[in-house]
Amino acid sequence: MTEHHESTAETVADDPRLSAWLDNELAPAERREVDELLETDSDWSDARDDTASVRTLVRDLGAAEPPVGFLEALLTADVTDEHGPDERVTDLDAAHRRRLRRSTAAFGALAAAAAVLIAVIVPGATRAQPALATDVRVHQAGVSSSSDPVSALATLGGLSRLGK
Amino acid sequence: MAYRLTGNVDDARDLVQESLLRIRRGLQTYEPGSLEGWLARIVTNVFLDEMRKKKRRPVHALPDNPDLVLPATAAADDAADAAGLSTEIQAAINALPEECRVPLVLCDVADRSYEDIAATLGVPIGTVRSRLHRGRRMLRAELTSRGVLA
Repeated sequence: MTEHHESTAETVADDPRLSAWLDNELAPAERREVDELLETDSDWSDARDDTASVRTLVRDLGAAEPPVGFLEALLTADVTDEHGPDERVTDLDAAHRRRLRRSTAAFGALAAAAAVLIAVIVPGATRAQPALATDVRVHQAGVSSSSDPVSALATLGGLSRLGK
Repeated sequence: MAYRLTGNVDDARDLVQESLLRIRRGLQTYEPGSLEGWLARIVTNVFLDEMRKKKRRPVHALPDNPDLVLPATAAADDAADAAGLSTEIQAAINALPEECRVPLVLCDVADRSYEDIAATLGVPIGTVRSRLHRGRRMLRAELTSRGVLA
């Protein structure tokens, strides 16, 4: 094969009409042109065969078979749309972050539930006293020790205001 | 299709999830027509958006592990050969530049027309034609260098 012929063959092989011919994407007039070239020029028919072999390989490959459990995991995954209707989700990393946030939130909720459970199970250990009730008890203790009737009334009045 | 575009299961899973979100939002605007084409367009757009972001934020990917990419196959020799060939071809597809890989996957895997691909990518049909053919030529060279094609 001469250098000139090789270069001609390369030029033919680079012609995008070959792929379009194989994909049946040529306009009728263009297709007739290529048909004629394929019949008369071996460079064209060789290049067509080369391109066809690659095309067939990829087409035979088809869509990938998902791994076992892929679809199940996808369908049961929590893909709650946290964005507004106008916001476009385009960042795949954001999906990772959202999943992480959901895990963190779930862990936080679990921790809060555990804290409440502990507080109920172990009364006195963590039960909080309302600050106002503590003040009233301190004040009442002071009143009883001082036997001041005015202060005792003031305490009752303060408490009655809370109910209004 | 998501797997052929991304080349690995994790990215394919994320791509499908993001596509599902977009499909859910876009259902209201969907006009009856080619549902398959509409879905392919959404998956492609999500993929291209992510590729653009990766270009702005380069990361060092871990080397591909074929064991993680493909599901376990039967022990039969034919199946193993087919899986090996499939891995080689997918690796060769992954090696293509994005501008050639996307039209090739859309055409040969998703079976979309040039017109549809052009609309999806927002480029003229002539550009689709040349990129697709260039992709096939490059793929052939890559597969030849891997010994898959003579």
